[in-house]
Amino acid sequence: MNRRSLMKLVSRVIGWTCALVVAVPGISFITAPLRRRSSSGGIKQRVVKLDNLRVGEPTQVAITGSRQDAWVHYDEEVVGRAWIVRETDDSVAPEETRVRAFSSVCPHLGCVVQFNSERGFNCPCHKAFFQPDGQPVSEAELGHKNPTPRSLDDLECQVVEDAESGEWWVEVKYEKFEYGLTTKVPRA
Amino acid sequence: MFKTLRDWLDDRTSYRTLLNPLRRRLLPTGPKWGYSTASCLLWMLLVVVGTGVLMMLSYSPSTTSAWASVHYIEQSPAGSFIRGLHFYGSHALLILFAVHTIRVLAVAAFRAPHELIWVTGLLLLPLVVIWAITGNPLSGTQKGSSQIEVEGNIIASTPLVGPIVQRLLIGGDQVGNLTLTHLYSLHVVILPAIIGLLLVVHIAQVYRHGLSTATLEGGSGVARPYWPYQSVRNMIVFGVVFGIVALLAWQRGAPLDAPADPELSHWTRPEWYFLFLFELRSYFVGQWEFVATVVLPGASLLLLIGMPVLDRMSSARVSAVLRGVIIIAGLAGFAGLTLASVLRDAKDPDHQHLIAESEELASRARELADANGISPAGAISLLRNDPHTQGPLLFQQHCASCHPKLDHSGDGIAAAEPSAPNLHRFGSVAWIEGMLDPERIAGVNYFEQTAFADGEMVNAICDLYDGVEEDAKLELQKQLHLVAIALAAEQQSETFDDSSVAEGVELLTGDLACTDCHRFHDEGDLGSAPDLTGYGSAEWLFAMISNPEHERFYPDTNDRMPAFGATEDDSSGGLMTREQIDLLVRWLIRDGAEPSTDSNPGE
Repeated sequence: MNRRSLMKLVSRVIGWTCALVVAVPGISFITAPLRRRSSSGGIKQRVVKLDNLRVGEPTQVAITGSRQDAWVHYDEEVVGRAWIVRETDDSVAPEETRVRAFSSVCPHLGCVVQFNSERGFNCPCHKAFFQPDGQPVSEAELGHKNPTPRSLDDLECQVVEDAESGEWWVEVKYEKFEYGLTTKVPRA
Repeated sequence: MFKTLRDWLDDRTSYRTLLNPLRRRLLPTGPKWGYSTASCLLWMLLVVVGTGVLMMLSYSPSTTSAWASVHYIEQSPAGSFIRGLHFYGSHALLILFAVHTIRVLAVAAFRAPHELIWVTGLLLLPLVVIWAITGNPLSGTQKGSSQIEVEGNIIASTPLVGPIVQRLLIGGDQVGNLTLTHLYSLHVVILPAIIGLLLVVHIAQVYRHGLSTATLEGGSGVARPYWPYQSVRNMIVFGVVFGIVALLAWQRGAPLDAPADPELSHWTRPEWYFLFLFELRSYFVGQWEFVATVVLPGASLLLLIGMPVLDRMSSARVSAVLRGVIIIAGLAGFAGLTLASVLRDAKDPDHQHLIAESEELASRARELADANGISPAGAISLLRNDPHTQGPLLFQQHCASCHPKLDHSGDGIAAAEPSAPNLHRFGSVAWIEGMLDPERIAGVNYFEQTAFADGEMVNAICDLYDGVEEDAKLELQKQLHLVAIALAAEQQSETFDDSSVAEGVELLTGDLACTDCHRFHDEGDLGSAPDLTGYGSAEWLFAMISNPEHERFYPDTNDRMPAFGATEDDSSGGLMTREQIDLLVRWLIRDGAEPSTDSNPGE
């Protein structure tokens, strides 16, 4: 190695080293959101008294919880919504009442699914329609393509008795799922 | 005048030599109007950048401050105009870009040695669109936040890299503070830097190779200097375009939707220049969606980039046909898809309703911000703490399955299955008079579809009139009117003549014997009928809605009304929070009595 190529080498090594010292932490900084996963494995919550639910009238309930948005911590916020559907009426004992819960997040692209008695569950963003049991309405019935890749996302839910008051409540485990997939995959 | 100064400057810097390509630029076949698209684009870019920098002086990107700072810009002197110029200028930029590209394609100005000009120009096209898109959510509006959320999910539907890009852009699972800081950095530094770099190459190439020979045909034929022969044409065209932009900015201003709130209903449409992709996507369902969002747009761009090669391979005639087909198909596709999307929404009453709803929220939010200012919690609390906004929503969600709230002309909120009293102006003199009227108490606005239709109250009122002669009836009506005044006074939302109130109280505790069943202050007992103390007041309504089976209301005879409040020993909360019941009550009482701003910010 002669003098000249040594000088070239030294210049390059110092230059690239300095660049890497900035670039590597820089990349780590930029990609932080990929590693910062929200750890909530679902929020279990009593959402509504059984008495307040009627068959054929899905009820929208709010799920509250704490939420961290970068540097802001929200103690108690609405973090999601669910539709509660009662399937059996008062003639069935409370503990045997069939109740279902659907996430109100549209599995297509994440808008909020609405309900009205004429059109059932529907999403205003891209016109996805669902039957009362959460299944997508078929293309033939709809007259246009149903953009949803899967049915509404079922949430774990059960009827529980309040130990003190003896009232029956619907308890829901709220989770979020990835959009756009044909299967239900929990959001990491 | 400053010749000496300029000579000195030129001697030290030789700036004249540097500017020579500009000063001496010659158009071999003379000026043309068509050339002006390029120059228009540059000037419009300058307007957009300049107004953007001006707004940066007042703008603050965070979920709490974005909307508030944009509203502040709107209120600052000339702020609305500057933001309008930025908004409409960016739209004009996109249109000019399309016109420029079509013109270059039409005259085949991409031919050698101009390939690099063509390619850098085409790369600028998606970048400028992304530039515009990253700007929309910065206003911190519900619309912008919904747009970026859906756009993020569209990005995520791209196989492999999609989810990673989405996460990096959004800055986590959910649109929030990092989304705004990321978009802001992209919008004001990163994208302008890349766009600027490409522009430098693009323009340097134009100067190096001159205007395309293909475009030289058809000029006046006489060589002319660019300045002022071409410049005057450029400025006339730009003047017209800028005039339109300025007029829109001045007359209409840029829109400002309601502040973003994850609790608000969540739907959106993209900006007009993206509607065609929105529409295209509805033909590709499920996992094929990325064909519409990535593959087709990407392929179109590649086809255009490949034009110089395709052109060289084909005869002049084939090339001309190919270019014609691309332009016509592109324009027709864009227009057709956009139109299909617009028409579908125009025909959809649900969609029109959503638009009207969000416009109302937007104007209400601006009105509240103007009247009361914005608290440190941010613009989100404007509508959240506003009874006028939340009242109808809460009523709709919790009350309107049974209770209507309709005025005489039938305006208001109808019940799904009317089976409880109409609450329009509940607790007012008119409402109570109806309740005390034997003709109406069992009618549709009161107890018709309830368990009380044949109850003690209905019987008591009918008994009052039983066997009373015609002229005595008028006297009885007068007495009941006074009772209604006495009870309406309990609501404390209107003021009444003291002597009428006193007479009414006298009657209801005395001759008319209301306190046989009802309690009224110190008279009568609780248990058999609702408490009339503070009847219809905020406190009364709050307690009633929280728990109608409380001793004060219907401990044993409650019909079907649920308890909406949380009971003290019940940690899981009620159907409504205290704050929600409070908002509902304030709306029930105030609505109709006074229309305007009655929210307490930060409460």
